Amino acid sequence: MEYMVQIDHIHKSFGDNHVLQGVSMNIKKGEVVVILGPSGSGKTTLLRTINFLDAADEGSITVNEARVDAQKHSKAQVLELRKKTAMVFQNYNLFANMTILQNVMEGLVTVRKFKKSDAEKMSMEILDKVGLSEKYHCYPSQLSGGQQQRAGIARALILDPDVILFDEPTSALDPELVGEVLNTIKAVAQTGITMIVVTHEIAFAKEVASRVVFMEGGVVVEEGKPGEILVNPKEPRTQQFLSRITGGINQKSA
Amino acid sequence: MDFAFMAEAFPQIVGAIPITLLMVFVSAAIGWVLGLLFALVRRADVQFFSQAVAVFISFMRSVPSVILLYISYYVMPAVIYFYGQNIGIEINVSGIPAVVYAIAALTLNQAAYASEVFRSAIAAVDEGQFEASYSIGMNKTQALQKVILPQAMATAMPNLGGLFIMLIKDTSLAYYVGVYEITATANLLSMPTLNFIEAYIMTTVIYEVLSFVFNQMFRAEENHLKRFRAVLAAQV
Repeated sequence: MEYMVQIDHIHKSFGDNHVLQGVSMNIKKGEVVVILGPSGSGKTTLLRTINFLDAADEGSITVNEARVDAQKHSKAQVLELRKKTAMVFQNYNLFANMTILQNVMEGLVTVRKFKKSDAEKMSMEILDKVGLSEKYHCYPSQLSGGQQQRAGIARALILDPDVILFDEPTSALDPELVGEVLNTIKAVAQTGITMIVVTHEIAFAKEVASRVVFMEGGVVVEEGKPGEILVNPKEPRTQQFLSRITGGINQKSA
Repeated sequence: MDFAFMAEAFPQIVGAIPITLLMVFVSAAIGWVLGLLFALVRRADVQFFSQAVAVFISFMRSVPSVILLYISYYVMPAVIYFYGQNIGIEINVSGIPAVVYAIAALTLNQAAYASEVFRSAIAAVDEGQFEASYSIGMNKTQALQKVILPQAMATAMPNLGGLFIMLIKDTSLAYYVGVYEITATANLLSMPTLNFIEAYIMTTVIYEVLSFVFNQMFRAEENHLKRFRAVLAAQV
């Protein structure tokens, strides 16, 4: 098998709004793909079509041999696809009625049918790794945004997915909490897991990405190594976007 | 005040509490399960069933409880009898106690109101909770059972408590079809000596005590269910 994730000519409309206009992308195992773009460019929607939280209108998604055709698929196929992926949400979306430990265990117990005691042990280990040893039995409402997001990352990691989808994981955080979450994501990236990250953190993209994709108007405008795209973009639209977001620092140093 | 009458009648009125509670518990248990099912059917937008449920709820909520009770008591026996004849069984409908018809009416009434309570409670759960459930590979049933309904129940609990208290009071309507529950018993005992004031004072006290006790129980359950929220507990 050549690619871990294959996104093939995905189209998606919300009413008259044609958000994704034929996006294709092939992602190898272990790649960290960072998707950049102005708001409304369709990057979050693209991410959500990968695990079918938003069902695409046309095209197909393949994750590690689980293929789902947008126009012709069964519920079982979608479920299979979702079991190979995990997602980290902008607003964390931890299960509000469960403790942090239960949040992480839930996928193992309910979906993967692990024994409770095994799931608990594994969940504690992973929570220790993201620095939440003290918080096993807290409810999400008792945690800071940064802690909640790290728990969200633990919930995704424990399922050992073929790809983790990060949907603007630091956008809802207070500025002083962004660092701790980015560090956790960097640590995850170093384990060699395939990741697709939608973010506005350019510095983070530079450091972690193996590939940067710039989207605008529902299409991929430009993609390449972070050294090329972020420092020396070819497309004027990419240049504009980067100069707006960094205040032109990149242009001067380039 | 005729205290001698009160002393004599009070134990007998208290003795009618079990029949009142029987109607309350059976109607609430069946009615709320039905109500939850109705809410889920409407949410899932199942063709035909969703519309049928919507019509049923709207009908139930616009008919006075006492009329519903009369319909149940006077119409249902005939329906059951002719249905029995149709399939070749002779059913002795006069052998069915009146309390069964009262429970049937109260149950449908509860189902209609409870389904609206559940519907709004489920709608109040953040859509992101569904998405997170699906993102880790849960199917819809698992998401509802593990994530959505536990949160919705916490929201629904105060309104269910209100419904329950209303139900306790509505059981007094069963008097109209001859069920000897609290109100009927008190009324009948007071008739020979016309001690109505005394009888009504006693029933008031009994309903107050019942409401108070169940209200406390619902508050406690509400606090238990919403322990995950970072807000102050309801006053017990």
